[in-house]
Amino acid sequence: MERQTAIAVAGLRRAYGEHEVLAGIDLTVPRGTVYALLGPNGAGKTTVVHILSTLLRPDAGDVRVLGHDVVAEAGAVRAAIGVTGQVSAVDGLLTGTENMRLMAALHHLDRTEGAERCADLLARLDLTEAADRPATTYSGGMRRRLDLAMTLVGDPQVIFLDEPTTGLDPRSRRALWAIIRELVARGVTILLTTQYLEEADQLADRIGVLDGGRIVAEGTADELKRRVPGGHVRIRVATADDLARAGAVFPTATADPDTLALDVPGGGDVTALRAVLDRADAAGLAIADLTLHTPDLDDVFLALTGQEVPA
Amino acid sequence: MTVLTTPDRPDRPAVLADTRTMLGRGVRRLLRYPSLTIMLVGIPVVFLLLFVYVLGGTLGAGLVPGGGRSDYLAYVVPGFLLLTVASSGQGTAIGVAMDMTEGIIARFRTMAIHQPSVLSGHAFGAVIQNFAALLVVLGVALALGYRPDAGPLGWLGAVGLLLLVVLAVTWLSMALGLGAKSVETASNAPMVLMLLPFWAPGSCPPSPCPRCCGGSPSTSPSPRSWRPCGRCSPGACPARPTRAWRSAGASW
Repeated sequence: MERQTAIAVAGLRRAYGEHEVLAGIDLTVPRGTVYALLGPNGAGKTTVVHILSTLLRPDAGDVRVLGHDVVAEAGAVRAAIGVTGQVSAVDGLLTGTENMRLMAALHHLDRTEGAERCADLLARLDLTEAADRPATTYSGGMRRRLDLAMTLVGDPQVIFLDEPTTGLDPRSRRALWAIIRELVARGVTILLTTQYLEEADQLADRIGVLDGGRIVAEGTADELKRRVPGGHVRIRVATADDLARAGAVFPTATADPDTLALDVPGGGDVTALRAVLDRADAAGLAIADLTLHTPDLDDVFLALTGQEVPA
Repeated sequence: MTVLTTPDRPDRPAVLADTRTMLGRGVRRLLRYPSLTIMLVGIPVVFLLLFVYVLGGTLGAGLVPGGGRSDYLAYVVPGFLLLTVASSGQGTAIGVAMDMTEGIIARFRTMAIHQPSVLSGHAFGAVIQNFAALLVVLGVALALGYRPDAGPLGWLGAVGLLLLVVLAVTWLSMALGLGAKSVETASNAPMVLMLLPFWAPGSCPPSPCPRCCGGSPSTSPSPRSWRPCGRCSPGACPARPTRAWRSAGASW
């Protein structure tokens, strides 16, 4: 159990003065998996990352990374982790290569070994061309990639990514996702925070929805989706008359006269679809068009946090 | 993959290696941001030129009977060396504050490194920068005709004293830089250090002092310069060789 668990948090509390940011968090992340903390701004995601990465002390609770207590054994925790925070942690006055070599020197890597690993990582993160330019000249996506490359110099076993793709364009975001997947395939454990539901859906093995300092729901993306209603079959008909008839066939459905569409609740899966088709056939109802709607994480987010989904 | 097992208290080689790495980073940052260094060295140089050429004749006349610009130059150089240290302190505060506002400090804090090396790197870098600046200002003073007649021991003492002042100002500046909420605040905070040499008798004697060095002004031009006059016994005027330093130092 101990060996398989990368991150173990129990009863974590943290307050800033009177304001309680974390009101008792429990979470467990097995090795080699991705855990996404999903939550609106101010939910406490960054505070969790800061505590796990030894930047902040918890007020209460047991917080362990690879079995090491983050307060009593901060040094051992730091030796095993890598952190890429929201604010890009690169030295803007140094070039990409110099930033990387700085990390290699601080990890006490042998000079040639360090140089090789730096060059290799810069190539992997597509920064070779920009390697000799000061980091201030980098675009947002390049800075983030350099940031991650610097995190990887120490070959960390556990990586914390605090909103790794916030502010990146879709292409850079996908490139970063690919890198994260590659890391996980090598056995690295990743805890990431995000406010993008798609990101959690794409990357995470498990998702914890953080709201108001508590984890209000936890599970795989599918498990979370199943917890909220919202699955339906949307049928479209040709005329307003048909819509009225369809309304009689499916009394629980909500009709939209503008688009001549009808949302039939009862799930968005194949069984629900078959039932809808059977009833339409029996009533002799002509269906022009039909779509399945499964709840996505947007619905989950909305239902669990009671907030508008961030655009 | 082997796990890096670093104890909470890193061993000595790690302390030395990390401090050296951070010093290298600091020096590199200074080289990448030369305009800051140029400004910091420029301030004492401009003040020196201003005081010596605009006011030096008059102030020199007040120092010794028949004194002039060269007497004032001899009097004022130590004070302006202190001003140089204060000016560099401003640079140190700016450098530290810039670092603190960037995310890289958070990265250092989550790494298994000798944590104080982040600051000691700044401190050693500042000492190097200070002495480079002091050499430039001293060079300008020599070009203007400053001719100290101190012996090797005198110079050693001057360098030692400067080193202590540099270290004191550096750590104070670093504290100001750490405490500042922005780089702008950090750049203003040590300004008061630059004014101190003007309050202290660094640029102008506070009151008439007994002139104990006899002889003509040309052979012993400045009664209160930092160099031993050589013609008086120490008992005659015990405070004389270091009067400017002491007064300045005391007010710091």
